[in-house]
Amino acid sequence: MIPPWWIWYYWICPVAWTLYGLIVSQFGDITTTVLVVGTGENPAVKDYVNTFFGYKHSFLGVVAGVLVGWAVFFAIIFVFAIKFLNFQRR
Amino acid sequence: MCLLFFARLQVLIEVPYVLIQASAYALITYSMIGFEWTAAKFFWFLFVLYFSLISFTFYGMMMVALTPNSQLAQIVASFFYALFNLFSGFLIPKPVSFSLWQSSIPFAPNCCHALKSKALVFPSVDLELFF
Repeated sequence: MIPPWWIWYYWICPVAWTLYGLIVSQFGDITTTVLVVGTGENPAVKDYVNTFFGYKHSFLGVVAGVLVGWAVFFAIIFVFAIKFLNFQRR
Repeated sequence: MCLLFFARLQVLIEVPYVLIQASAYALITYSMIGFEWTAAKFFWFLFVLYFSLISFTFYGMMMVALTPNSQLAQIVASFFYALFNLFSGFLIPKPVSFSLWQSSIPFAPNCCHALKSKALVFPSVDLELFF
């Protein structure tokens, strides 16, 4: 588990949103069971994804929005860095 | 040449290019991994992949634009790559239940004292509930 005082970095990590989107869109609604190695438990795939990784299928829409947001965010900073910092000028 | 125009063109050219890359990658990997063959799931896969690829493209472009030379850009960018991987929630899963109140306990001495005194007065109260 990520320590609580570091969890803010989880939420501002772009890769975390990628993984959330990939895993929850593929496995977040699967109801067949999976055998969890080491514990012997037999939960549904969607419940396992929720308890182990904390991913909820209902959050998929938000994840999609944030993924678009990251691309827009980096692009905007790039455009303004080119405009105002002038490191790339010939 | 107008710099803003030039910069916006550099962003725009990536949009179709990365779409082609992501489509080729998604078609090959999705069929090989053996995910469920539904249109919705495939397009979700493609969507997440496309926006991840394009945001990393823009991230790299941003780092180059923010730093004076490519060496510095590489150093700063790879510093954050390491952090991204560590905090992506795969190596260390995120906790399921988290409240701001929990995280504030170590920084709030009064709160700790209050909980300790409560533990002295009511020893039967389960303090694990609070931590």
